[in-house]
Amino acid sequence: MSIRRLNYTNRKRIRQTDCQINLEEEEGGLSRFRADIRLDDYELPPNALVFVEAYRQTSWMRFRFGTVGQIRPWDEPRLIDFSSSEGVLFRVRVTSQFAPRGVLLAEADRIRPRRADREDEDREPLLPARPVENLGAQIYKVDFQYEPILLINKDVGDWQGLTQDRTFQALALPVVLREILTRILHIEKYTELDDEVDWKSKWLRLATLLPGVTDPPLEGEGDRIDDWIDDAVASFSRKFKIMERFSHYWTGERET
Amino acid sequence: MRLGRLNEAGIEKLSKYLDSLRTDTPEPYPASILTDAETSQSLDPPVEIVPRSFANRFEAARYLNEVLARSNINAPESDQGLWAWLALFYFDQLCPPGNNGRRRSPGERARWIPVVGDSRRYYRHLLAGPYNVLKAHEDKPERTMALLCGPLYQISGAYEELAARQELITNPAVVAAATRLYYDPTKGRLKRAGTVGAPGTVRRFAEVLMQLDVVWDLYQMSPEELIAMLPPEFDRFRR
Repeated sequence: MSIRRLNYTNRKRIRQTDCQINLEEEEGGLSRFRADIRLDDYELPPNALVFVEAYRQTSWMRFRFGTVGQIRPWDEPRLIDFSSSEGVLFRVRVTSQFAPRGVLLAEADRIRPRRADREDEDREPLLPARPVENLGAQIYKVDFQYEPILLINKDVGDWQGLTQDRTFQALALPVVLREILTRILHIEKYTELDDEVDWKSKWLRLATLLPGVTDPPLEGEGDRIDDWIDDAVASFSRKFKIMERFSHYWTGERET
Repeated sequence: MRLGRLNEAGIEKLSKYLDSLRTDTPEPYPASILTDAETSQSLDPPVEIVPRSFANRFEAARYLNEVLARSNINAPESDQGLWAWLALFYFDQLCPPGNNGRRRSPGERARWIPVVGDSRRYYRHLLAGPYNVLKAHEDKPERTMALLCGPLYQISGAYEELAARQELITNPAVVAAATRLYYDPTKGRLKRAGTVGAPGTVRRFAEVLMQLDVVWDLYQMSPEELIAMLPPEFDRFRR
């Protein structure tokens, strides 16, 4: 069961562009990282503590990075508790040092590290697809644990071929887009467009670049969300000629 | 016996066996998959493992931690074939026969063959799940008792609620607080909590903590501080 987390605090959201993590593999599979954190714009107390955390499933490590006024990296931060750095994400947390101690003042989460040796691989598509087992009789599903991933049932066989299939795309992609936008606006209640790294911003920007789609509704305009999503999905379907793709399959006509 | 890992053919045979247990004509236990060169391979260098019984998931996790520490596997947590092999090796304890001689339902496939890339299911493997939790709390494994005190075949509500949430399962204070609140060390099992989701239950514990996590840095807290922050609905477990 998912739990909705309500943020009634003044906790600030740090832009991921202000927290750059560069990962470097060492011999033997271990990794070390360098964190470039810029907090000048957030009006945080200079004595607040800065932490960088690395995590993946049940593995987690925390590194002290000094204070807001003096961000100082941990000596040689190494991911010694991770057998490999695959899939490791980072978060930066700023917390109060004095009473009330431990209040979360600012946070950036789900930071994907950059890898010096894998520049090309880091350019992942907006919706990566992965084959998985245990989807039962479902063909696909969108997973939102971190960023949206299109999970494809391994039992279909050529799963990569399926994702390229025009009929599958025609039937699945508008639904996937609707699900992702619904997730962002209704569940995450996120409307920002300017974060260069955050997946939610990327998807909202993608939608606003579609012909005729305005900026997403702001907070307090909740009743407009469904109409806006409808507009975005309709525009997406027009732009990518979804009906045409499907008709070719349905009527058996060859595509030109 | 030498510890091994199932290959693709072995995993497929294990899947078929699991499927057969859901029918009226279950296949016999396919022990040969563990050693047949077509379905498995031994680790190199070899590692010995013994067929023993475990009092609970904690004991199994601790034993597997010792065994895997002797191997040179770089990332055991993501070794699908290894965990499938181990699940088959300890099958009698993970899927024991009932009074009528028939095995209980094996449940979803993720309990037997870990879904390594799926963040929502990886922890459900009956052996890899407890192993990963124990490994994450290797400095003081006893703090995981609330999660791992049950029989090997059972994924408890306490385990499901905490292991499913990365922010909670990795936090020593959260896991220790759960053990203090819900584990009865004299009986070696969880305290009776009532209906799932009722006030003060583990599900509510996870929900309240996820809400507190928005405001507080829970990683800086001690178990005592965490327990003190909980609302009165947890009083009956606090005593």
